[in-house]
Amino acid sequence: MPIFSSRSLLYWIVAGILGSSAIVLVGMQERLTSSEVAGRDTEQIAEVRTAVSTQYQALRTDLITRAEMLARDSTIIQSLDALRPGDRPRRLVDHLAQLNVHPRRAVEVYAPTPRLLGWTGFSMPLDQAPDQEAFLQDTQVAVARRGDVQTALVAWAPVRLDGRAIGAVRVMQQVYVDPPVQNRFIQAYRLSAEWGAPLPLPISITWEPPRTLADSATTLLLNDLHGAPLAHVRVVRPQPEQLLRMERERIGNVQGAAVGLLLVWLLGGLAYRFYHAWRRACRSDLRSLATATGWMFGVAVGIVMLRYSAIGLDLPARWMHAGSAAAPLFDPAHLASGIGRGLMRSIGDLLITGCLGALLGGGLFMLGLRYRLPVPWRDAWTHRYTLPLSRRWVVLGTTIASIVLVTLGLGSSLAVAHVVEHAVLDSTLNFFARTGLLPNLLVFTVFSSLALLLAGLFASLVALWWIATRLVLLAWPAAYPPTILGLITLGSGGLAAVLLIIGFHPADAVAPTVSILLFLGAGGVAFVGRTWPHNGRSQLTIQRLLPAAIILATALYALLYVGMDAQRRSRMAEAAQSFAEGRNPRLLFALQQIVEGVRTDLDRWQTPSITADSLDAIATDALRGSLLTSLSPYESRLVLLDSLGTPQAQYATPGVRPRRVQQMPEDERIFRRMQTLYTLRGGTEPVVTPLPDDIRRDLRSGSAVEYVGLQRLRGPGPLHWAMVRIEPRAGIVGSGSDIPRVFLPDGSYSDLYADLSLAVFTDGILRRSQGPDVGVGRLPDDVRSRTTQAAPVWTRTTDRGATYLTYYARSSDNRVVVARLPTIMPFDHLYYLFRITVAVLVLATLAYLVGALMRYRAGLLPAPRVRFRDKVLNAFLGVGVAAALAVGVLGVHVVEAEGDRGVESQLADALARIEEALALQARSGERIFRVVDRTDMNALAVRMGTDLDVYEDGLLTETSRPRLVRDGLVEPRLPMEVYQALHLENRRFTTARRSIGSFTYRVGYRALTDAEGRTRVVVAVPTLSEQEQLEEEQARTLAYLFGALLMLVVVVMGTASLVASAIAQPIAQLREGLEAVGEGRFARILPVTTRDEIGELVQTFNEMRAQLAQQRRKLAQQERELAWREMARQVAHEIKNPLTPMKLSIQHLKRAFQRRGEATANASGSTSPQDADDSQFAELFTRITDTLIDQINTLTRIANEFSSFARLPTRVLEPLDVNEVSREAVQLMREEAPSNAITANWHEAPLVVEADREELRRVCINLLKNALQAIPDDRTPNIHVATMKQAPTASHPQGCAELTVRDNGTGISTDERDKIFQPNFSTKTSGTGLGLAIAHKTITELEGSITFTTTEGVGTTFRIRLPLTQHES
Amino acid sequence: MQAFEEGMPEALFTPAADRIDVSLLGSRSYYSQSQAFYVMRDYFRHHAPRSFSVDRTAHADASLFVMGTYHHAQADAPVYVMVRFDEGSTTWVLHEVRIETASP
Repeated sequence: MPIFSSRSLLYWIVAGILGSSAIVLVGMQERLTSSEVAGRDTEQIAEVRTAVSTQYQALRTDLITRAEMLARDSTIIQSLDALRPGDRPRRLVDHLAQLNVHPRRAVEVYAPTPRLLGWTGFSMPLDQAPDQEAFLQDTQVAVARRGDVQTALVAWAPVRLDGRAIGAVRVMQQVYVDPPVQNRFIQAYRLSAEWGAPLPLPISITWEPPRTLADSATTLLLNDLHGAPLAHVRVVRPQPEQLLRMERERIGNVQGAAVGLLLVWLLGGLAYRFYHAWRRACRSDLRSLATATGWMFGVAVGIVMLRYSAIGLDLPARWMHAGSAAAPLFDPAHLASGIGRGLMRSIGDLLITGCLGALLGGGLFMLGLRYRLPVPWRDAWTHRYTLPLSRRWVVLGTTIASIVLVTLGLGSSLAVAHVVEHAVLDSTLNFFARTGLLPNLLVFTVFSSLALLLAGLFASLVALWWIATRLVLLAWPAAYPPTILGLITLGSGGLAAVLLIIGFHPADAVAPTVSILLFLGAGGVAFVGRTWPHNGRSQLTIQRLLPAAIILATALYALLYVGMDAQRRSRMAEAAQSFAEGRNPRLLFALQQIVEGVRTDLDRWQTPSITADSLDAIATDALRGSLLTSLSPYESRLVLLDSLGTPQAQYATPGVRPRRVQQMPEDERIFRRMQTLYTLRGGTEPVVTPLPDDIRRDLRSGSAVEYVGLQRLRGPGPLHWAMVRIEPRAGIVGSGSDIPRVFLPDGSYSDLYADLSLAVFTDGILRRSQGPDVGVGRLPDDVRSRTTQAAPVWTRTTDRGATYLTYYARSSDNRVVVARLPTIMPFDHLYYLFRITVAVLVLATLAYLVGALMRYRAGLLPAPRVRFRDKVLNAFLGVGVAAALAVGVLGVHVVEAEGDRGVESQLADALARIEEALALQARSGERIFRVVDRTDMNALAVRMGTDLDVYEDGLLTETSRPRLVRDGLVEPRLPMEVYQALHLENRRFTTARRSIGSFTYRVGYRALTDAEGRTRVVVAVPTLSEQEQLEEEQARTLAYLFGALLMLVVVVMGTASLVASAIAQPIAQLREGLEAVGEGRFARILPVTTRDEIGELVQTFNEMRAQLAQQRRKLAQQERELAWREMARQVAHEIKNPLTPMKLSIQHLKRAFQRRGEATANASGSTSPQDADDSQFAELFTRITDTLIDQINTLTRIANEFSSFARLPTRVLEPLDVNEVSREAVQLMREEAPSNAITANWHEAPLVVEADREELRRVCINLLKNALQAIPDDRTPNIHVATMKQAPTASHPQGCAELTVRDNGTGISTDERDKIFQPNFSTKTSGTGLGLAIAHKTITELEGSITFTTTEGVGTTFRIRLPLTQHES
Repeated sequence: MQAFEEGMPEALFTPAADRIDVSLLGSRSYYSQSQAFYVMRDYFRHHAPRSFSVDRTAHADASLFVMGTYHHAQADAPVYVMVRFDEGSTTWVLHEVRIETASP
């Protein structure tokens, strides 16, 4: 492209505009002052107020509309109209159960009381609307609260019938949720965050009327329908410097866009120039190659500049606001690493880096295609190019360049391996969770990004191989043999590999090994690809991309596994250390919840005059309502102290029910210590910690580690401090806490590894453990000896058929801490590989589509010819992949369905046991539901080892986890569909899915009925604590299923390739064979290697080939005979023509001489010497003329025989008896032969054949003549003629007539036997050599055969066979 | 202090433990050092500093606690900061960062 063409001018104009814009914006940013932005805060506040007001109006209107629409619903009206006291109308329940509402919406229907009749969605306490006069008169809007945990905006609409209010509908929208813990399952929700995300200024919404209106400009009231404020919005007025910063940031956003566009535009220009240079480059033209290389270097620099400019300008993250769909991609809380100074500081950045890496790799690959050798390797070696430079510098330069390229390649491989490893280490994503067929979107994006990076790396390595090879061959000195080059290459490569591998710890050798394999694999591809046509476009097919995708996924998984293994080991060590120090995160968390809960309860209910009974009730309830008590093997102890730190009341859970207990002497001392710590830590958060060592040592010896929590109370009563201590009930083995994973922080080891075993051994004896059984009570001696060293010990141990990775570390002189985790099973590897392969296949699909487009544009699609092998391969792959998908989808359904059935069965069993336990306590004739009232359900839950909830009339009355209800994590009423099933449909058992945030679990419900069969009480068992194990088991089954499917796909691919080759190869051989036959080469016989139709086809081909060869020989012989006949005809014709006049002339001359002689003798009457001479002359004359006439007759006969050989057959076929014809020939020859020379033996029956009588007789005569002529004079001739009938054969079903002529002649010599039937061959001096040729020709044309057997000096037997006709039989 | 006054996490993470417990307004997680740096960087980007004051520092066992009040541009009300350093071989090493809205 010329520099100053119109296109380039446009290019530079656009670049100039973008650059100028960026510069102008920078100037604007720099020159911006506070005075210029003064006043903008007012504009922005007004804008925010308007936006929020609009949003609120829309939400309120939507709620009201929905409520009024439901209030007019005929089903609801009729249900309320038919309402009986204490009843819940079935139609209403059914109707509400089918309503589909958003998870943050809920609908309730009330009777006028107001009594809740039906519901769907979450629950909230009643708001103030029912207390208003306008209740049931008009539509109302209010705010409902559940403490500080949840807030909802509600709309009430009266249900009217004939002008009277018969009920009300309440529609609720969650606006605020503040759970006690946040992690990947449970998230806080604030409507203010949702509304405020796109706004220029932050807002906060308080869902209650303001106490004062400090700043009306920044405060917006959210009112109900009557103008009374329900909530107020505070718009944060920006400080002047903040305003300036925000304005600069806004300009910076635009500037970032301008700079980004400019960089992309410049990069696009460079890529365009490279593409054109690449298209013009010729593999044998070094100058064009250098030009293309130069532009590629520019593109590479451009890509790097673009990437780091984007990082520096914080693009595109700066354009993302919190609520945007792409925001999670740029949230570092999921993944962030400092590698490359920002290349992967979020998932989105990793994706961008991967895309640019793939782009760079693609460009290098294109360049490398041009560097491929333009001639075969051997020719390239002998015809290397030379440069017009000093050879020494050329050698040095190209050698250095090649070494740099190879080093760069290996280094890049290692760098990418490092990136992949850190994608796991610097992430909170669970890449290897077994939670379904496909990974979640974020994990999928990471896999895709890493796959792009790896694909780009591989393409670059292939290109580097091509370029390095070309450079080396360019300048390798001719005097140096190639062997040296090979040795240098192998030697340096091997040395590098050894250094890399031995330089790493064996456990860390995976990454460098994979890197080296990638590097060498690229070399293999480069070697194979040196002859790819169409610049490699033809490789972008399914047959190439599918195995490439699987190999790429395998390499990626190997590298990811390195990171996962490092992460597991790191967390095992961390868990062990925490456990040794007594830091059990689950217990610490649970303890924190207890002290916070105690504070909440006492702050609310404590008064200065609180009684002991009230205090007992509050305290025991708070203690019981924790996550930890009643179901765990830990004993809890609550101590309430006054302002001086004097214990006032103590409560503990020595059994199942908390009760007041006596003070323990150490309570006060522990408090003092904890109070100090509390003060040191700021006094805002509860202090939760293991019991300090010095205090524990002073306590009773052998005490287990305790945990202590302390929180200050804020209520007005006499109690100022709440202290909670917990310790395991059993001193040796702890069974682990039952705090479900849903409540734990992300990234903690106990969050990730439910099957992690931890233990502490003191003096080699197990003292304390947590989690699944660690397997041994004493440390093995070899481990004890190895742990005397400072470094930890890692081993693989086997216990009851399972293999574990075990970590041993010495935490003190006599204590060893152990962490054990099951190793990953082979099928788990396949499952993880399957999930990665899915991500890579998506990229492969994109590559296929791009390749198809490229091939279409190059005219390669539709393909003029599709190989049969490819068709077979595609068919197999299609069937295999479809089968795998079908099995996979079906398998998931089956596994999940079976899993659900199993869970239902377990729940049913648990509920049945509970019902049995209740039944045992029932009095005679008492219904079980009545037993519930007087049963300690908490104790029952402990006895059953499960959580337990009790519902009456759909509302929760008792629960083993009241804290969850209080925090709004569990709904205090039955789901509508469960109520419908148990109360209205009178079912005894049902299950439902419940969720805490995004954590889903199952709950089983059992109805306890009265005498009329109506459900009175519902007992529920949730799988909250068991859900992890259930999911783990289901995930393991899915892992095995998909691992097997992946193996199936690989096996199908391999089988498809083998079968396609097995089918296509013989066809290809057949094609080659046919080509050879077409070229006249009949010698090649194809091997029959199979015993199927293909083998039969090959065999048939071979038979056809043999027949064709025989036919060809016959044709050649016929052509030769034809040539001879034609020649004979011509010769005969030419000879006969002069012979007749010659004979006539001589006869005439003889007659004339005779007449003259007679005349002379008559005239003289005497004889004289002159007469004697005349007489001699006359005699000589007569003898010579006679000889001449004889010879002329002989020549005439020869010519006639040549004619008869040459003439076309004019035979007349008729059925004739061979006996008869041969008898005639024998009779004729007996006249010429000596007597009794010829004997005969005829077949008794006629032997009828289809032949010409004259021809057949001549053949017989010819044979008899030959036989007579073959007998020497000194032998008595003995010729025997015989006829017989031959048995039918496959070729002659009627049988054959055989005529034999046997003589006792001299026989036929060996070297004459092959020529006996040739036309010009004769053993007689006077023979024409045509007799047997004519006989052979005649018999052959009659579809018979003529053969002979001979013995030299003994005789010869000629045998003629002719097929008998139907007539004879 | 510099880290919160200027919104520069680099000052906070020199040095830091391999894994750091970070709790931001109730959302708590364990991060690698590298990841925790970017999490804090992102926090400062969305909550640009206005002012920071150290309320108290204290030692407990082998830990150093630094408590402070952080005013940022996104809200009028401040947030409360607690940073825990554990004793390393030569200096204090960052182990925990908590930012809460609860008032004392």
